[in-house]
Amino acid sequence: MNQAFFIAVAGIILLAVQSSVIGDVAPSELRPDLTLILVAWSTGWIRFPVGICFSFSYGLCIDLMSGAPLGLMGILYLSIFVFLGYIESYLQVTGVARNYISVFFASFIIFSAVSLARAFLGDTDIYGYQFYWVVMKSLSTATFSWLVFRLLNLTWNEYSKIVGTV
Amino acid sequence: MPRSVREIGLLLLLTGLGLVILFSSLPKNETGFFSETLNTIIRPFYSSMFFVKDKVKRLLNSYLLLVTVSQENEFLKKENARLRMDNAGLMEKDHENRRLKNFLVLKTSLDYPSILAQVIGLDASGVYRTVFINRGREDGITYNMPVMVSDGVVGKILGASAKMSQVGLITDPSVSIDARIDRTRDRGVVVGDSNNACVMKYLNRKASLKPGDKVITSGLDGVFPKGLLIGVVESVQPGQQGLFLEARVQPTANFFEMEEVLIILTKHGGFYIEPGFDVSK
Repeated sequence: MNQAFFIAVAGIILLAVQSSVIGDVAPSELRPDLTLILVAWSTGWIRFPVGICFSFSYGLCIDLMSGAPLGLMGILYLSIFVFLGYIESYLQVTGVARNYISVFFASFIIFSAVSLARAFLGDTDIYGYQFYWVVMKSLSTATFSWLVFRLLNLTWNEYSKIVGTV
Repeated sequence: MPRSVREIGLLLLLTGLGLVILFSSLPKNETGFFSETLNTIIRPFYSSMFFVKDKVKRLLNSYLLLVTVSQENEFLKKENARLRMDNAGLMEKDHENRRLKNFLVLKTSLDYPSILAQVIGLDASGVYRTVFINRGREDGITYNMPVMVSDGVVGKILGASAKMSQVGLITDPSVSIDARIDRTRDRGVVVGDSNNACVMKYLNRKASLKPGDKVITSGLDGVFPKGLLIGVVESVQPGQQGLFLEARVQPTANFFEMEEVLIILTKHGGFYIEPGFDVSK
């Protein structure tokens, strides 16, 4: 219950920051996906049913707060949560490298899938710069993940000292 | 990871639900219950973020001005600091005043009713070129209404909830405008290219446009009124099939610095109203 409350509040704050203040820090091509970082952070730590429900919900929120077709990000976020969970449980990679690599690949997969979906739906054609853009955005998200992971760890530690971890 | 049938069942249920939503979702111009609820929840966060951002920006501006102040004595320093802070505040007000003056000129020059709105949020994914404004259905905003700033066309309303709306920018590939070259009167369709610019497609091969030509709305798409400035032609090249010409257009509106926008109010999002139409009636 405490995990769910923490993730819910953190998600809403990150969602609001991502779609407002962060625009002053980075142009939209490089704007990091903070909610994706939250999903990656919660992988392997949060209980599976809670994790998939939140991943799906935050994906839907991104759909509603962007031009994406409703449900697309929901499915992608859900898949990423499961994918990162498998990577974590089978490869046993830990530390900063794990965070950086998992966020980079999660971001790369999501934005490639969205670009392909847009091309498939006839919104746009596939251009070379889109690949460049997907890589840059993934790098930016992975770089930002260092800071967001630290912030989340810090706030979770303080929060769990007060209310417990269950 | 899923360890029980229950967890696998939940995973499959959510995936199925996602697919059902994806393939049966409402068109973007309608806001459903979820969208409405989320907008209601997120609006105070947006507003508080906007407020905090504004305060931080003002403080930073004041601080940056203050670091160069010579320290003659404590009294003068304090006095100077106070005056500079006042000045920074006034400068901010002056900038705001200039922007609003431009909007007033634009508003009075338009033959159609319009409403000013503040940009309060950006596209959450960063993939699409959309922004959120603090006006919604309660202010008479509906789907497809044209949105502009004093420099030119910004885009159109993609969806409106009670107090908030989503604006699709002209640099998004899903937004297209019927347009003309101002000088030669050649017609084409301006479409966003996701790269912070636009492409004007379907131009006659004999069209004599050149870089620097202004691109304006033709008024023939039933959404945008005639004669609004969209951008300036940067380069011209043959289209992919060679049947038409294509021009790369740089929008005149600055999407990065945009703080307020003007929405032209049309009755049902379509542009078929008489000039002087009052939506409040």
